[in-house]
Amino acid sequence: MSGSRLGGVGAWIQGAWGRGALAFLWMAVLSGVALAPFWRGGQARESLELLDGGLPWGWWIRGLHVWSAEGALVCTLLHSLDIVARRGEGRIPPGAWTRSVLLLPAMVAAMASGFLMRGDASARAAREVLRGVLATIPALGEFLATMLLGTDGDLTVVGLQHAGLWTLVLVVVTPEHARRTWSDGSALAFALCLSAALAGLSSRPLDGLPVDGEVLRGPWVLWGLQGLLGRLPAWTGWALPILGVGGLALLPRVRRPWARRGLLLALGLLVLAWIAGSLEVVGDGTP
Amino acid sequence: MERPSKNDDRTGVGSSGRRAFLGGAVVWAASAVAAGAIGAMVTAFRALGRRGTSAWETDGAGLDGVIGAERLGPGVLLRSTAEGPRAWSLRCPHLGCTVIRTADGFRCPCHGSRFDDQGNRLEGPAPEGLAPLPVQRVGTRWRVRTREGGA
Ligand code: FES
Repeated sequence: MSGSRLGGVGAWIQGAWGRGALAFLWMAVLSGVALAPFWRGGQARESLELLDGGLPWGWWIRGLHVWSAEGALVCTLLHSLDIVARRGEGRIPPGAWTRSVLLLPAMVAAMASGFLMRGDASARAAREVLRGVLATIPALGEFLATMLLGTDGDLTVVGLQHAGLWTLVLVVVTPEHARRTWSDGSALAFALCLSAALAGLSSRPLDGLPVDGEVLRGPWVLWGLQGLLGRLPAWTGWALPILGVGGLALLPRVRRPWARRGLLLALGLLVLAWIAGSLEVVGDGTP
Repeated sequence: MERPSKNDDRTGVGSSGRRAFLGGAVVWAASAVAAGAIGAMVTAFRALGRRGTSAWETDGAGLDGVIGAERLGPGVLLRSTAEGPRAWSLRCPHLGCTVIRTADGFRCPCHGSRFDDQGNRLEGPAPEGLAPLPVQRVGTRWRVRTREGGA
């Protein structure tokens, strides 16, 4: 095989995570558009129960939506890791890098708000935890909590933020970052097949009130946070993510090798703490 | 390079200075209006969060005179005691998850805080015990005020 051929394959593999992220994102958006007419903010759980059990293929489209969103997040994380490992951040204009880094929290926010839209016991608990965390932001906390999470049992505000704010940000910034609107055919086919298969193979059941001994942890994207909040004060729930995202955004500006290594080490420690928080069983469950 | 005359220069500086001043004034005025609007929105949202008083009512049958009898309401536990009816909020004082009734007290399913039968904090990240709520007798019914403030 010639060197140029190898280079082409290498470049294709290197770009695969990015193309995958874009393909999964579109899959999530299109399946979300199909789901939107059936969701009611005032009866979130009931509308999802209807989707799961009362409408033909409703459960499958919901699964497709969830799995493709998770695929988009995983591909975005791997794409970011790949870029950092290859020191690619220095080759991207700083503004474009900052916007790309901001895609990560926007994606987590989109997924977390999507999870809250379930309206079941875990979702309600996650909403209270997020509200408690946001409320500790000085001056703006209550405003942000109300604006992003609403005030009462009605989840319409959460649905609006999910579809109208976070998805819009992702749909605008991701193609701008990728310099293309659609992913290529093979990535789209892969995303569709994988999400469709996973949606068919595993259901995403809603949960009821926990019985004694059970723990509630919210969406998996927030597990680490949920674990850490058992030990750390609530304000770390917004301060740590800001530190992590801010550190990643600053990476191209850190020129000295030792400083770059230090920053990467600090970010690695944050990720380790996140993973440790995710593995910890929150609440020991003994009656 | 041609230098502008003093006169031209002065005229230019004067008019651009006025323009800069007006531009600055507009920016400051707009910022003040924006800050006021944001402040008003924050105040309105804060007020919205605290607005009004909510209550939950339940029939006294099965509770009146039955010491230790309990009834669960939305986010509320009502108990009949020898001293009269008592109620607690089931909202965890840590970050607000709803606690679960256990054999000997309450447990929060989110970060594992535990409370005894009287709602006192035993362990976990919750800073205090479950909040006691005011209970009122209304005819044959019991009314628990679940949210303070407002009217
Ligand atoms: S919300 Fe109850 S322990 Fe955290």
